[in-house]
Amino acid sequence: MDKAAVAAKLAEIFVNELGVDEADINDDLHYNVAPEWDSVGHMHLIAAIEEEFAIEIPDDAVVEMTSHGKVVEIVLRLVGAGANP
Amino acid sequence: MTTAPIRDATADDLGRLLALRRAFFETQIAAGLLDLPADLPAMLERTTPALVQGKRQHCFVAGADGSAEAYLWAVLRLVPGMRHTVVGSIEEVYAAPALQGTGAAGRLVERAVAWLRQQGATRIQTRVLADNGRALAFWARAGFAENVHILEFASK
Repeated sequence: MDKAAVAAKLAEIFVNELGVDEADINDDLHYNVAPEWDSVGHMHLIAAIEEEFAIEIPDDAVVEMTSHGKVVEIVLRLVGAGANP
Repeated sequence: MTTAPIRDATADDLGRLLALRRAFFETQIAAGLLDLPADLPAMLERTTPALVQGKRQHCFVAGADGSAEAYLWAVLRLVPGMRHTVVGSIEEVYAAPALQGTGAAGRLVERAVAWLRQQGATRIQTRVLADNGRALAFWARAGFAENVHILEFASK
């Protein structure tokens, strides 16, 4: 799965799990700044990402996911996607 | 009266869990304690499998002879940006009429607290509306005390 496909899947998960408007999804979307992204929402988000990509996100990485940009970066690392599509 | 045994919920309990969660939400909504989700059945269908399959969460059920007449859903929350904070949260607990008043819910809470501690929870929380006296009394008996207050703007 390339970077663009990972990013598209993640955008879908943010919309479905957090109810975030797709237009508001960008790297600067931050935990607890987006009202829908609270600590409960975060765990729903993590569960959905693990299921979608069939990966296990280490606890340290769960804590590091403080923004949409960080989520994309960490998921790309975990799925081993290439830097370019 | 026999004490309903408590066990881990499994995939075989999904149908029963759906019914119990629906009863939980309908009871809470009817009492004005929860807002009505946009599509309650769809939300329950979508989220219930994670109760028995998801990591960092656990569901316990109580009931005689392998049945499920009460359930509790506990979640471990790792908080972004907070490296050493693991919050255990009891999201839902409900007993069907057959088990109400039997102590099953309290025993589910005891089991959940033990599980959350075992998983490394540094704090264990649940959320109750300030004017829900019955629930506040239940949680006080289970060893929970008020700590965080969420203030809502009360328009006149």
